[in-house]
Amino acid sequence: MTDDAMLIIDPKAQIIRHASPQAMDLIGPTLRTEDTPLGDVFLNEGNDLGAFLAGALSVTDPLLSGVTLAPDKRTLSAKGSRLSLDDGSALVLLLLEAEPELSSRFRLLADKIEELRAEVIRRVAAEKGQTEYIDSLHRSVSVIKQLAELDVSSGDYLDMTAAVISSSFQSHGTAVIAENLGKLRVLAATGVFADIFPNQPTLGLSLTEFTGFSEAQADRWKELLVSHMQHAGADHVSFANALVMPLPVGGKVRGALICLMANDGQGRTNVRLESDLISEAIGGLMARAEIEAQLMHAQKLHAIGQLTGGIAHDFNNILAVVLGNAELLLYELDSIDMDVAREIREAAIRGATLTSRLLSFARKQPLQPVPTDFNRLLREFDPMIRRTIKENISLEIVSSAGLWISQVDRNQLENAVLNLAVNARDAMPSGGLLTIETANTRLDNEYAERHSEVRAGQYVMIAVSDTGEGMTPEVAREAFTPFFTTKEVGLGSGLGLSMVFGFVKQSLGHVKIYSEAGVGTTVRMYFPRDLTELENVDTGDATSHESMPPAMGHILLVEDDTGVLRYLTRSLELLGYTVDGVTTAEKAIELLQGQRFDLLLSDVILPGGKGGAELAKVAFELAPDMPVLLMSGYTENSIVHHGRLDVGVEFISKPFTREQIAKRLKGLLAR
Amino acid sequence: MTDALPQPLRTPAIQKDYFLRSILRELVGMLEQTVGEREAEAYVNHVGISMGRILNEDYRTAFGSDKLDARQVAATLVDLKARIDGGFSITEIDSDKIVLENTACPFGDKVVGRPSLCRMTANVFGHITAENLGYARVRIDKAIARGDPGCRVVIALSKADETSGPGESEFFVGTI
Ligand SMILES: Nc1ncnc2c1ncn2[C@@H]1O[C@H](COP(=O)(O)OP(=O)(O)OP(=O)(O)O)[C@@H](O)[C@H]1O
Ligand SMILES: [Mg+2]
Repeated sequence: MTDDAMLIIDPKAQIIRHASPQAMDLIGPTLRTEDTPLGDVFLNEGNDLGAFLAGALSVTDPLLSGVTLAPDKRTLSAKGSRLSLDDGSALVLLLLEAEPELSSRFRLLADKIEELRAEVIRRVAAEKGQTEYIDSLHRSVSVIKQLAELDVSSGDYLDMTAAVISSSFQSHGTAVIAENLGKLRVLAATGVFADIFPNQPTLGLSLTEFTGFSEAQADRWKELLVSHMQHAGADHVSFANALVMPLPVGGKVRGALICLMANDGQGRTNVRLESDLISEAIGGLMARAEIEAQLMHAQKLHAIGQLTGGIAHDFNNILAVVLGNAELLLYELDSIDMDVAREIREAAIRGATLTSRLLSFARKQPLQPVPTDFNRLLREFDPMIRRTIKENISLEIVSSAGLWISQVDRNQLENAVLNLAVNARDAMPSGGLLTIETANTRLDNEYAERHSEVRAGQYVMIAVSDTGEGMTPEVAREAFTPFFTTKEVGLGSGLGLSMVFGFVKQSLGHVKIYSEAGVGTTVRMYFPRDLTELENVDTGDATSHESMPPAMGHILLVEDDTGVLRYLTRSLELLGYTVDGVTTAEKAIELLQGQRFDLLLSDVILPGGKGGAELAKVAFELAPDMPVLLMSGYTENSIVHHGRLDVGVEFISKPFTREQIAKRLKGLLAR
Repeated sequence: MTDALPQPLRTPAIQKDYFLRSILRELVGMLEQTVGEREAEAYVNHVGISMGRILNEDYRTAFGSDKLDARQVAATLVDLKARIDGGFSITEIDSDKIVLENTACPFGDKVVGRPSLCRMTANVFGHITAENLGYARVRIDKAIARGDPGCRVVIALSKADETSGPGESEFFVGTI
């Protein structure tokens, strides 16, 4: 009872007889403990209060009403009850509450309704969110599916990508920005961007500038890109609702996708998720396209190689005849037409070099790989390089210490280095610096994955760098293609790098060009490290050029091309040998069964059943001590396995000079 | 334009009275649910007393007297109820009490489940009786609102020997 704000009122006297402390607190200083005039405390407009008090006095049940405080017009809830006194008179007991009870209940109710409403809204939103989430996943999946179906080998796959994204995001402008030929370009564009960027323009932004931002700086990254887009022509385009997402290729940012959206309202919450999925998919697509392009390039080079090998084979036989006969001419006719004959020989030698390079490119050059110390080889080859370059070019050889050994064909390696040096020289007509450098390197799995035909592992690297005019990306891409040259007719055949390429590949290595127009070029060759520890690595015997005394011996010569057979027979006879010449392996076997020969010289490819390799085997059974020398303008798998000759087989490439064959024969017969 | 409006096949029996009773029923229902039955009664008490005050003045004027006697009071109560479709009839009347009974409520079937509306009747009856006869003690024995088939209202005219029992309300002359 005492807890309540309570007044005892004498309605007749219009006086508040008593007030509880709570009532004093509630009403304030206008209320005194005893005998406060009712009018000091309450308003009585229209006798509302009077009627209420009279009502309360007239019945034993309580009445409820609102009363208004006089000083501050606050409304209180009042419950009036009759208080009967012993003398028959009555007073009114008034219980007050700060807030009319009804409104407090309504307020609670309203709060509850508001809570429920909020809960309902929240649930509806959550449900909507979930639907949106599913929708955006659906959309992403559909986009990824469409992207996966694109043919990345077609040149316009990025255009189709942009179209797919554009329609899925209902974008009025989508652009794919990525690096091409060394510069960031708008590679594909739809909608408003299609009109602004029709010809894959560059953005004046390098990939490194572009990727040099951390995750936290994503906004600045976007700003930079957008400002360059605007600078490049899109200055009237609003990027306010643009979705800008990086395109990662193999974990590194390689470009971006910009997608202009009509509004950023719908599905905004899931755009992040969606764009992550989609940019990942586009990145994957770009990676696939890159690999496929590389593969196509490799296949193209391979096909040209096949063709080249075939042509070279026939060409070699022709050359062999020309060369052989020219030499015979030179030998037999001392006086007349020597110059003509010499010219024929020069031409034939040039032709022979040409076919040799073609064969290298075709990876059909017979290789004799030996464990090689590159530093030592370069040291010994140094004078040759210096002779090749001009005085205005300085040569620097940087040999790294502790260099691993690699198994290579030394002659071909020298050829390759020479080709690169010549290219460097040609690239620096007004002088510069030529650097040849060696190092141990590892090509890791990631590198191997990104390059076709590369196996991860340890390699010995040899790099040839120049400070010349460099190559444009277009030239660098085609540089390995045979007969591709930017040089004037007669100055370049376009086979130098083809030879390097073929040779390195045949040696199970890898070659790569780094070049920037106007700055210079570096060509790096990688050869697999030789792990079979071979302690005595020498650089091969120095070629002796002493004049040869007349030779002695009986040679069985097998050659199907009668032209070649004829000139070879004569050449060998001129050297002092006795020669029996036949055109098939069968005839040779017949002869071998009947008599003894000091040496068998046979072509590899022979008509009919047996080839040179088989003939060599039979000959070994019939006469184990007799040396066999095989010759060919073209090497078949029968004698070359993985770039190496079968063990025990001696081989000489056609065409050869008389001096070359003489040397080989002499060496074999001396055993 | 009104020609075009459709006419229902049977016009619903909605009269002004029916309409107002429905409103009342809904309002009281809302009040009972909001503040509880007991507090709702306290509000209805207040309304009932006020109504009683008005009606008392009207009947005094109608009878042309300052103060009604017992028979006039009884007549007033019956007439009042008849006028508002109360259907009350006096089953007992003496110097001690007036007993009224009915089979239909002034609030019609709208009263069922709205017991606080009974306070209206109790207060109007009690107030008019007390104002004219000096005192009244009202007890509602049966109520349609509580599910009984009819109502029975007992108005005692003298004070009880002991204090009023449960369900009884005492009325006094309320003029200050
Ligand atoms: N170091 C270099 N600097 C600039 N451009 C180069 C360099 N090396 C090669 N190139 C470019 O690559 C092309 C192909 O080179 P490659 O060595 O295959 O043929 P080439 O030098 O033109 O002719 P060849 O070597 O048969 O005489 C060259 O024509 C040249 O445009
Ligand atoms: Mg070259």
